[in-house]
Amino acid sequence: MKKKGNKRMAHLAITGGVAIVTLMMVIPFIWMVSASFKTEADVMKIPIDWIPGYFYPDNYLKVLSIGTASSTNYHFPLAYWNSVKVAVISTLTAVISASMAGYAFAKLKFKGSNVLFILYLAQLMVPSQLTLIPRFVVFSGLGMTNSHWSLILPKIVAVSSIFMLRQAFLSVPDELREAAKIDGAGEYRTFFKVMMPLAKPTIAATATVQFLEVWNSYLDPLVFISNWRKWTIPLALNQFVGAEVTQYNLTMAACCMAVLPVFAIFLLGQKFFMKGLTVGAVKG
Amino acid sequence: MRKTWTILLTLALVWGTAAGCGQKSGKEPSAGLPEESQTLTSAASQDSQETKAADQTEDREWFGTEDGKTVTLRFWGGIQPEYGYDQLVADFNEEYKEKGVQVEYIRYVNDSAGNLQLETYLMGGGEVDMFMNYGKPRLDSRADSNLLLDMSDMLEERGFDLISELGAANAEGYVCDDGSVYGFPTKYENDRWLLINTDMFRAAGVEIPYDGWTYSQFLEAVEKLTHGEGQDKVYGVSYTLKQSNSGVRGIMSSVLGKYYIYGDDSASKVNFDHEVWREGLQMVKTSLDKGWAVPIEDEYSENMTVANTFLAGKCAISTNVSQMRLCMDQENYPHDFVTAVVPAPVPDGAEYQADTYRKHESVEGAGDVFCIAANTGYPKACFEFGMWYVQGGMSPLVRGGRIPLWTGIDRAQIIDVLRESAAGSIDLDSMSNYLSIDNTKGVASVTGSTANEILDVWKEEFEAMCYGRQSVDETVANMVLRGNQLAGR
Amino acid sequence: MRTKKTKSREAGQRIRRDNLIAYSFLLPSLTGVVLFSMIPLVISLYVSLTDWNFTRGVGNWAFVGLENFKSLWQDQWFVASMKNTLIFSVVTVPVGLLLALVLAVLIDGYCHRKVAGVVRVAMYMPHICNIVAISVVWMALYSKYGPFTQLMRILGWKDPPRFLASYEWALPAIILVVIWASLGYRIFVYSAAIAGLPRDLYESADMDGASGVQKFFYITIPLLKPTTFFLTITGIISSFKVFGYTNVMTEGGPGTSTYTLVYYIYTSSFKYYRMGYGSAIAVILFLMLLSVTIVQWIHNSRAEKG
Repeated sequence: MKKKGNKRMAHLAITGGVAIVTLMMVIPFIWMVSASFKTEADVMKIPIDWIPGYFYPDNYLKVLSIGTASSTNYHFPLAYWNSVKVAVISTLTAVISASMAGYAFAKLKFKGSNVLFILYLAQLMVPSQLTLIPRFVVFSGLGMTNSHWSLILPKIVAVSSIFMLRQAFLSVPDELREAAKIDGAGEYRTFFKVMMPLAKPTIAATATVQFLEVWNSYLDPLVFISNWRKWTIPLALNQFVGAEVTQYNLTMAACCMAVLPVFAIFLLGQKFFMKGLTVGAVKG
Repeated sequence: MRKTWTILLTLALVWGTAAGCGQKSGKEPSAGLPEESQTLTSAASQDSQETKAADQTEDREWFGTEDGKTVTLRFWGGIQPEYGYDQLVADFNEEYKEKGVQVEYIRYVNDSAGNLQLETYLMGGGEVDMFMNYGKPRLDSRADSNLLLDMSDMLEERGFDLISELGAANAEGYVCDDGSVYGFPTKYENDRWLLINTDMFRAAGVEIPYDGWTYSQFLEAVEKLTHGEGQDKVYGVSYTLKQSNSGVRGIMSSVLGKYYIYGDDSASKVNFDHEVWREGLQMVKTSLDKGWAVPIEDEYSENMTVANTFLAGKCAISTNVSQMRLCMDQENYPHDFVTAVVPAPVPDGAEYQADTYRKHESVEGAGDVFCIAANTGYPKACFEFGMWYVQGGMSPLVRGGRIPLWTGIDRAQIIDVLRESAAGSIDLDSMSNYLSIDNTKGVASVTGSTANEILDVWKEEFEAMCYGRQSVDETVANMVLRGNQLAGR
Repeated sequence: MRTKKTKSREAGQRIRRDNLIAYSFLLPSLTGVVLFSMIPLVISLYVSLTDWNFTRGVGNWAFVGLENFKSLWQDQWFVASMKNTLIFSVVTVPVGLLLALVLAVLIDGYCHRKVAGVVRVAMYMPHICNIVAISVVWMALYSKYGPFTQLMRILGWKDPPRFLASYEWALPAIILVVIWASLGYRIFVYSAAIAGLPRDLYESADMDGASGVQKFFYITIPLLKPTTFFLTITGIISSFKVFGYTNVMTEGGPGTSTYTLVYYIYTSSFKYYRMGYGSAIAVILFLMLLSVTIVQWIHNSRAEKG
């Protein structure tokens, strides 16, 4: 009996410890949200007022109104729209292209499949930093710098997603495919009508991963996009902080707006997202 | 029918433009037909059109396309439009709306990413017709890469002699040995000046150094100006290094003039072991060590800018004079003191007390270089804009702290503009002093392809000194060693 | 015989058609591989052997052989960025993994299932966050009167430095942020692996009276070796590529104390326009990543055999 009590105590203590660590992990975000609702004078006050005693949405209104007269070099609503646009189109591109490739590698027999598979595998080793300069050259040659295409088009090949989807398609029994064929469906019809729906969870997972990757990407837009009208959120945020604005209440409001929608998407798509990660991670 | 008309018009236009260029200034009100661009597309009765075309051969200026379309030039600049550029562009568009040319101002950020993008466009073409270039090293490298249009023929045709119109010292550096001109300066450079809070100077009993001062006087002043403790401490000076180090560098480089980076004309070795560098660095170090200047750690960690130091009343002097426009902007940066613009201090030695040094007359006095993209489709129209800009078109920028360089500008008028718009914020005596400088004695500094990297080395070693990691001697030794390695590459 | 021939011809046609269909499925991604990966890779390797400055235009370059690679080692900026990058991986990977492993085991073994779920999600937050936003928040936390600095004061550190503006502390401060940001991901991967461990081993250990610590060292750690290996490799790879945090928080400074390889690739290519030189650094980075990957391959193939 005593031992059991000890055990319960240990569980409670450890749970408490874990809770504290968790709190420490999220405290920067809590501070961020709290600071974004304060006046400049109160932001750095000690002890910290976690919930300010007043409602002060002005920071958000200010951040949103910056540049509306098209006079400044960052404009949050526009950056938002750009980020959403780029992220959605890129994700669609990545998912469709990766599903097709994954399916081909999983289910179709064709000459050179092994060689191609190794070629794709090798892409995992080419860091995007290595190809940054030539991609810049290629894009400026095509006149695509300062165009969102320079961020979207490279997503046509998302190698890690290809492997995740290949894995998913491998686990679909061949009989289903054959049954569809016997019904007279062509390869494309089979793919879109039968196979893709079956791989839905993995597709959702890769979509979330891709979406977040694009949403957060920083180096590529930094190099390819300089016209502020085309800026995505990370660039606008960086400019906002680097410019004459050093008021933490404003920057925190800007950060909140950059981060909270992602949190929302993450919490909604958590199930798929986590699954996607396990596939990617455990396979290694 | 239409074809004949086009040919006629083309002929007329060639005539017209040539005539326009022959005139000294293209600013006479157009006697041509206001509805020109519209009539062209609607192609009304031929008779009247022929009359029009005939009219044009005489005094009509047209900068649009040959088939009569108005062109919109894209003009890139690094300043926020609200500091006068939107006004300037509106003025131009109003004046030229009948002459087939309009301008759109596009702001780029004058940092490495922004300049990179600008250069990509200059290479690719189509997005930039003309732009403001900041800094001679960038101008040189752009000219070397054939990204810029040579304006010398157009200048000659117009009869605009850079040397006499802008001042020999300001223009000489922009005329290449073979006579080509890839850009001309438009603005009076103010890098060697300091912003001071006159109220604080008076309160501390420090005389305002309208006519310049020395390093030791500077140190005495910042000592007296420093007071308070902790969060309320007011410092004598802020070097705002996070924002830009060109101000603090300017204190020393302005005395060295032509040879501030390189020690010789071939740009093969650096000049950082000159005594002026040594003494200037010592002055900066002393002010930091004694606590009279905002500590460099705070500059970086608190993201110090002119707005949150000088304008917030946390220091009496700012070296970042390029932010002068903020001092005149009570709307966005409300503050209740008067700013004066004074010359940066010079070394104590007797040889530096002449006006040429003391008022920094011996340095490159010009900035904001107007350039035309090599691959623009409308060089003539771009050039017309450049001429309009430098010959007074840029006056709305005065309110934003940019002073026109053109000798044809009446400087007294600038003071009048400032009196109207910024009397409570800016010390007009200091401004007239600033504008009375004879900026025709200067020399262009030597630049080389490695200048940007060398200045980064300078910054790094300077920082290490400010942090107290090395003495002035060690700093100089490192600057020279590393600078020479780069210069010799 | 004859029938066989027609059959084989039919088969040949079918194979050809199948090939065509398969390639049509691969077309988009293959275009991408060629256009955005293979061609750039080749250009990159070649440009690294030239002195190319991009404003001179494509093709306008002089071949300099291995000159760039030789001069790298005399370049203080490169040496500093290499050193910092290595310090980054040597610190963030072991410390981050150890923390993650301990927390994962504790969360899995001692917390209620629902609590564990919430905790994992909460800890995961930083990983999905924009690097710029994270950096900005931490810049505020680290500032002179920011909460982190104040906390240090409360904990008895009389005169804490300006963390991001100090030669000694800037790199550790960024390392802390990186560990914080990746902890949730690592915990998550460990948790997934722990869930797949055979329960019976633990049960028999329980019967032998083994303590929690003993089980951790003798069962959990050895069994999780493949996961640890995977996380080590990905951790090293991602710390080789650190850029955003240093670019936003310190711009490499003060001095060169937070220069990293990718940061220097960025500045040398896009600030000084020395694309040849920048490509040479990128090639070095590539070789480093390649060697890590080769180690992983060898390890994996051995594990499969053994």
